[in-house]
Amino acid sequence: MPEWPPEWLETDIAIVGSGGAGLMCALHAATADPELKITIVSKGAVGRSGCTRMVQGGFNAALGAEDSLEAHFRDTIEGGQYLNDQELAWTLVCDAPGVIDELETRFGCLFDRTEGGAIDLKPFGGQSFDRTVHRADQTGLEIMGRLRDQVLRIGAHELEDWRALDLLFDVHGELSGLTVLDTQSGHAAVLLARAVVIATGGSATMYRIAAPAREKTGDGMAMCYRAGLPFRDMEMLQFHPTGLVAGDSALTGSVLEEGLRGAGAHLYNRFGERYMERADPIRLERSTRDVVARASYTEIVEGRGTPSGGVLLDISHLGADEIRRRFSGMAARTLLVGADLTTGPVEVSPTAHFHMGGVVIDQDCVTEIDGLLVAGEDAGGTHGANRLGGNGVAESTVYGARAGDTAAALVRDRALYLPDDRLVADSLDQAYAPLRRSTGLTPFELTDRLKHVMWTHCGVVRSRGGLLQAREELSDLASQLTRIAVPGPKEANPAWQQSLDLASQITVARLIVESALEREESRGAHFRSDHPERDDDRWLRAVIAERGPDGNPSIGTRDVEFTRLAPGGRAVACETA
Amino acid sequence: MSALQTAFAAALSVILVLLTAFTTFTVRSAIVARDSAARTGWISRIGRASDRDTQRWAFVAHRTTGVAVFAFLLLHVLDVGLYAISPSWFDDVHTLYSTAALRVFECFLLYAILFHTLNGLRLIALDLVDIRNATARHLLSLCIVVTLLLGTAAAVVILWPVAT
Amino acid sequence: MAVLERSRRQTNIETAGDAPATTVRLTIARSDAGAVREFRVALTQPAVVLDALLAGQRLDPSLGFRYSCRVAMCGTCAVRVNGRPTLACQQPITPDTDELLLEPLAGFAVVRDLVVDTSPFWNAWRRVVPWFMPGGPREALPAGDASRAEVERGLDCIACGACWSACDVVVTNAGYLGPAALNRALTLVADERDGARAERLRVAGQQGGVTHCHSILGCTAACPKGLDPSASIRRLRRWSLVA
Ligand SMILES: Cc1cc2nc3c(=O)[nH]c(=O)nc-3n(C[C@H](O)[C@H](O)[C@H](O)COP(=O)(O)OP(=O)(O)OC[C@H]3O[C@@H](n4cnc5c(N)ncnc54)[C@H](O)[C@@H]3O)c2cc1C
Ligand code: FES
Repeated sequence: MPEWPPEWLETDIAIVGSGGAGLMCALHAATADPELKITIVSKGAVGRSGCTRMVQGGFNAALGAEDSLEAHFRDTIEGGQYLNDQELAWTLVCDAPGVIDELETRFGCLFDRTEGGAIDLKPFGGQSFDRTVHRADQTGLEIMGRLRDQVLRIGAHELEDWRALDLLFDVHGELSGLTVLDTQSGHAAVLLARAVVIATGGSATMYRIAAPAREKTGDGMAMCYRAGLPFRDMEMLQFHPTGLVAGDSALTGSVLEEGLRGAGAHLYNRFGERYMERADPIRLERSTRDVVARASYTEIVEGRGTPSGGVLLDISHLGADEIRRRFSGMAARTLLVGADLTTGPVEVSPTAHFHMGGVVIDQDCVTEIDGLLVAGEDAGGTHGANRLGGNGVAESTVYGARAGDTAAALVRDRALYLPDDRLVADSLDQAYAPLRRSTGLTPFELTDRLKHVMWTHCGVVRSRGGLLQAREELSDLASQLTRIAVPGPKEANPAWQQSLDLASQITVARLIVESALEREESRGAHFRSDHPERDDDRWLRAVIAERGPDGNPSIGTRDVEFTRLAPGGRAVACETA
Repeated sequence: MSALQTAFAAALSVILVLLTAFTTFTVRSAIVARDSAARTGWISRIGRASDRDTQRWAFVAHRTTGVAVFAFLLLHVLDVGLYAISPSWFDDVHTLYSTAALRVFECFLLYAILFHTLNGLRLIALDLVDIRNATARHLLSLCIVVTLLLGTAAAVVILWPVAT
Repeated sequence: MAVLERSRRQTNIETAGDAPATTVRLTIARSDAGAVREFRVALTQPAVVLDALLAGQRLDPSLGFRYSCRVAMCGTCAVRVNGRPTLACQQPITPDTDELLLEPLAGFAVVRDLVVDTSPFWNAWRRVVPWFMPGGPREALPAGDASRAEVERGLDCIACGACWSACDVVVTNAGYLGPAALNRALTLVADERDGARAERLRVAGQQGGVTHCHSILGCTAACPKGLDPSASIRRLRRWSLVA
């Protein structure tokens, strides 16, 4: 069924993903050199897929009069429990104010301002100053809408609804581009590029209850893994404490914003106990995401949750009018599922939200492979063991912009290489295989199983026994992949696409499980019930995972370098980079 | 019937046929374009608030009444213009206006004029003042009610001579 | 005609409770010859149209439809439910629903099943020069500013195409820019930070622009984000007359 030979396309920079990172990258590369041929490969609609679009809270930048880069940096490192790559975190905080300015003055984002005219900064969890820039509670929509329109201006070549399949190399191992597949027509193509930027937004979708957009299935990470790049902190997967519980509905897992807890919402178990009094008697519900998520999870698995597997979030004591005024979007969201935030409790559960781990990069998004850059949620290190709310969209735009600058400089003297035919053939064979088989499994059952396994054994609370079981299950699931058969044509066939998603999800899930097994302590988002304490003596180390010679993940560790701030708050150096 | 009267009746028939064709076309394209639920005779369960669609039917009605009034006006200019040529021709044609059929026709024409005028005023208001969708819908209901009331009152007057 | 049924609860969420299931008969406009059009799916409350589609997909994995975010942000899940354009992820299926007719958006060519080719929408969008161009008379718009209020009225469009599908002018007049693109133009024309007001007003005022709108308000009634594109068009009309 793969047409042979496939169509050949050629470009200077191929950008995979059209979230904040992908589009900022395109705009920066085009600014650096308007002559460049830029191709955006996007599995979903350009600028309308991925999570940057879904950002409600906002964007952290140290813009307040009393705020400083150092303070933002310190909050980020303390939030990340000292696991961060400090150079990446420092670059993030240094670039963020400039990116906000660029978004406003060059791209036209209309952020909320005060009556005096200054940018309105709202408070967010874990921060010593108010520094979250926003546009009402639709910040991502505003940013992505404007970026998408700017991309129309530069006239980049858009492969909309095309998914990237595999990286391609020439016979000497030089990066030559990637294979891509048009999900609408079902045609494949080889995209030759001088530089490839991976910005597919990672993956937190392999959990039963999850928040991200559906395209985010770890394709970019899986591509990088197969190409042999090292990953760090893959065990660090953030759960948002208040995901909506809506029974069997697909709405389950969508986020009820953090601001509710900030505004004084209470959490109860089914017996009406305010369990945060036990988990964090001082900060209660305003505690950090990891602590609240863990406490809720414990209530649920220990049988004190509601019958449908949630706990109760109640903010009705603020009064219906006040709630409608401040949280109209959230109130509407609960009404849609038959609950009502304004009058009573709503069922919530922790929901898989964001992947702190990812590909190892440097401040310019450079990886170990010449010509290959990674930006946004696919990259690891910036957030350490826990991400602060508001640092995610900052990361994707800051590093997307940097990737664009780097790529523009890189392609000036990087040639096009012709890919090894065998790699092309293998990649396309694999992609079309589910469509060619006439009988077999559907991807749905396997996806359900994967989500169930990850949720129970590699979720909010982990243990060696559970993780070992997850390892077994995942290798079994991986072996079932070759038995998937999808009926129907190759045009616009979501089941076929889901079978390709599943392969990536399993690859990334294995990295998470193996890394989680390695880290025998609890830190940030990673909690081991068999090692419940944070262990700074042994574990101020990053877990590094990469593809071993046998094709399975091989795990190692690496010391975290405290180039700017050592644990205990001792500043090493904080000069501007 | 005199030759003139026949010509007038024929012209009016042509107008009515064209108008029917135009109406069919507009209504059909409105249905095919969006409301296949109506096309399949399907009763909507979800959006039971089907008054969401009234303004779209008002658009269709506005167009067809506009064309109807315009076409009749053309004919009317001609038949009134006859007076300039010969007052007797004028009288000849105008005796037709008192027949039952034309009285019925006039009633419909009146409804059309009323609706087109009132709805036209509503659209002008919409253009001049910032009116919310719901208000615009209420105004439309008002137009319809007034059209029906005034039209029916006038219809009684028009049809009275032939009815009694 | 074959009817596929799905009564067993086998979605990816296992709920311990025994929520009652609603059985809904779906009629889905399919584009492949011979594809099953009728589905009977059992849904537990709460449910939205997207859940019905996902349940239908389990019965016929080749069913084609789109979605991404599930929270009214991406705008890719728009379909017509009982003839009316809406977001599949936001349209609740109430317990007393027993039949639903699902069709692709009107005014677009169908790619497959419920998936449509939205390029006419985006071509129109491109024509209004939708990108911000610096160089306007003001640098920033503080809270409470009149220009800001005008712009904000039109923001948060998710480009789902529901208004396009609901617009009776768009379907008969291929050159018309349509509600969403004109609404986008308004957000820039009203923005005193923007430097291309004159050019956009020219585009909005010329052939295919604001003069084609008949104030049918179908767009406003259909907008799942509660925007009023029709009002935006009327504003642009006034401004382009004055300009
Ligand atoms: C519900 C939600 C709320 C959030 N709120 C906040 C917040 O308030 N503040 C904050 O700072 N952060 C927030 N985040 C996190 C933030 O959204 C992410 O950190 C950030 O947007 C990631 O950006 P990205 O560009 O890396 O990826 P994304 O924006 O997710 O984009 C990924 C892109 O990759 C494409 N893609 C995927 N696979 C392929 C493939 N195989 N081929 C081609 N293209 C592909 C997708 O189509 C998409 O365009 C939130 C996240 C979620 C899910
Ligand atoms: S799925 Fe994104 S708007 Fe419905």
